[in-house]
Amino acid sequence: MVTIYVNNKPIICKDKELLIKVLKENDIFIPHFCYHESLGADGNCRMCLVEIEGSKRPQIACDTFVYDGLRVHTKSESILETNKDILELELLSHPVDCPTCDQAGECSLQNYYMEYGLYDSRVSVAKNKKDKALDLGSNIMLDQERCVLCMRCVRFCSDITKTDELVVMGRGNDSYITTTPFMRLSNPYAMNVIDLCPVGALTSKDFRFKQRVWFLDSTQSICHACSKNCSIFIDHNAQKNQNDHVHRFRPRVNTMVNGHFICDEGRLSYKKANETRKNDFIMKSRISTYESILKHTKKLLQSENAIALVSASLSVEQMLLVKELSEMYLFDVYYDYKEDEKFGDDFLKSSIKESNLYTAKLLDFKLVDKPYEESLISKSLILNFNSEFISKPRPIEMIEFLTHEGKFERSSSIFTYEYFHNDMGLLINSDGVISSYKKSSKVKSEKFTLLKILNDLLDESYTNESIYEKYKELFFKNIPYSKIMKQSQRLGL
Amino acid sequence: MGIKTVQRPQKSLKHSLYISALYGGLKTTIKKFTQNISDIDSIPTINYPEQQPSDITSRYRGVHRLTKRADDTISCVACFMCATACPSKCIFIEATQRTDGVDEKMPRTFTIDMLECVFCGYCVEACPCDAIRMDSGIFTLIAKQREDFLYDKEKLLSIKGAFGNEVSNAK
Repeated sequence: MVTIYVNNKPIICKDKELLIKVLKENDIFIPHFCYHESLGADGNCRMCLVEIEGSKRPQIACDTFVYDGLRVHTKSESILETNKDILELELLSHPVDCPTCDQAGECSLQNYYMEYGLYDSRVSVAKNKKDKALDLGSNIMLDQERCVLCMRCVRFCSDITKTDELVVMGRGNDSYITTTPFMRLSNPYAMNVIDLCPVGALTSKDFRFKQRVWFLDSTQSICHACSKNCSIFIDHNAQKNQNDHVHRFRPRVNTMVNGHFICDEGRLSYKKANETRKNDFIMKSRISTYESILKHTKKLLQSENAIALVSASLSVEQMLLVKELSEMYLFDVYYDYKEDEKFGDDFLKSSIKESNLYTAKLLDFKLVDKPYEESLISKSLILNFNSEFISKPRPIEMIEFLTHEGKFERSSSIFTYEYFHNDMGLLINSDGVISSYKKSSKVKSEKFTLLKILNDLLDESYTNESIYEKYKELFFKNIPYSKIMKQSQRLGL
Repeated sequence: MGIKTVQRPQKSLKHSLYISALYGGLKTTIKKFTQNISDIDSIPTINYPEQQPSDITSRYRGVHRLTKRADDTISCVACFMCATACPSKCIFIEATQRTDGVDEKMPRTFTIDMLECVFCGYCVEACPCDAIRMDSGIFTLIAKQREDFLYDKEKLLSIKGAFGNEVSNAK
């Protein structure tokens, strides 16, 4: 460990660490385009120049390694002047089409201009013309005029995905980003370049012109597309007189799970959140009220011989309450899961398409197999917790807890509950990492959560925290709830 | 920051009787009454609607309109600046890919709910393209049902400016 001084304030950090990394970790504002934690330094944008005592000229923070007693200035008058000039250089040929640019609001150029620039353009000659609105494939649109040539996207395709689809062509003033000749962007992680791009050069075709980003609320959540459980932000909003709508998923940095990225399929799985069931309760094929169907279910549970099937994507708390219910009414709980060998890879995609299979196994739920089919014969009631694998071999009483339209629509009793984007909970991924997803405080939910419905069936009042705390010693290595809310925790396999 | 304490004036007997204040008020009323009776034509009030106001200038904030560029394409690029600035949130825009080849983006729908609008003019100030203006000179809004107060893109484009300068000044 060494001590460095930034703007005369001491900071203790590891020796030989990159200066820009130390500055960013300590929340010291440092403008930069080409450096990215996942891609390392490239040193081409020159935006991160800092003043270092004892050196003649300003140095770039992304190519300076810290040593004991290093004295850095990021706010001195001369370095502010330098940063301003570099920014002016970056903006020389920028088209300034912020009104039509989807990046506006989360654009580094805009942010730095407000921080350092605030000058009028001194360019009196015509700006460079390049191509705009190019479709590169994989839902990505390229605008070459807005590009600052930081090469993050090029490095992503060469270093992370190793597919080399993007290159820089031309020289000097005329250089531009494009796809490698005879290639299109086509890899399962391609859309990450949209988040990597610090400006509006690479934007999403899927999100194109849908919303301005400053109208969006971000909620910390977890992708439910596979058992990897990548951390994401859900960007959603409710427009005036309308219901809440999810507009996109963005990766959330979580070094224990997904790093900085998510796969394209997970990113586009936001659409499922907008296709949930209407808020209704069905009893004997008719629309009913919550109270009456609750009464009906309790009566059936007491009189009938039940069996339950859970989706392996339920949250930890939901599964724990199903377990409580099964102990109260003495029925077996089965689970099933989807597996897609073609989907899985060794990076961020898992072939198991359920997000909480680990917990289902942990709680000793039984895998749907032959014994399930056999035991069905003697049962007279099926409880289905959002599983898609439910089969109905013969007319048999069924109570379903669904988020989306089910298979046996209007032929059974149905509780509709909130999908994960409007709920909170814990999930354990295939590597045994337990993470939490949160609920937006701005969304008024119309539906009940599954936790509330199960609580009413149990006549209990568990919260997410209390049900987890009850079982944490038994199943979850005594990791406190508050710790998981802050940061993912490793349970181990 | 220090606070300066100001002493309130003490009420004297003269003030608490209100007689002098009453006299002062009545004096003004009677003076104006006789003045107006003797010279009816100089009263600023007009006999609306038989008489129409003559003092509406180009700065008057009338009903909004959307402008067109010199090549007859819509000026609006659906940047949502007006909707962002709007304090009553009464501007509803849906953006789409531009089809006329002039720019990248244009509004698919652009609706102003005139019943919610407070006519503050912030949208006009916020617009970077001089696409929305309030220079129509229309100061009355009449409709037979609530739905008619939702002015859509076509209606806003069809309203003409009342003070010349039809074409948008932007790029």
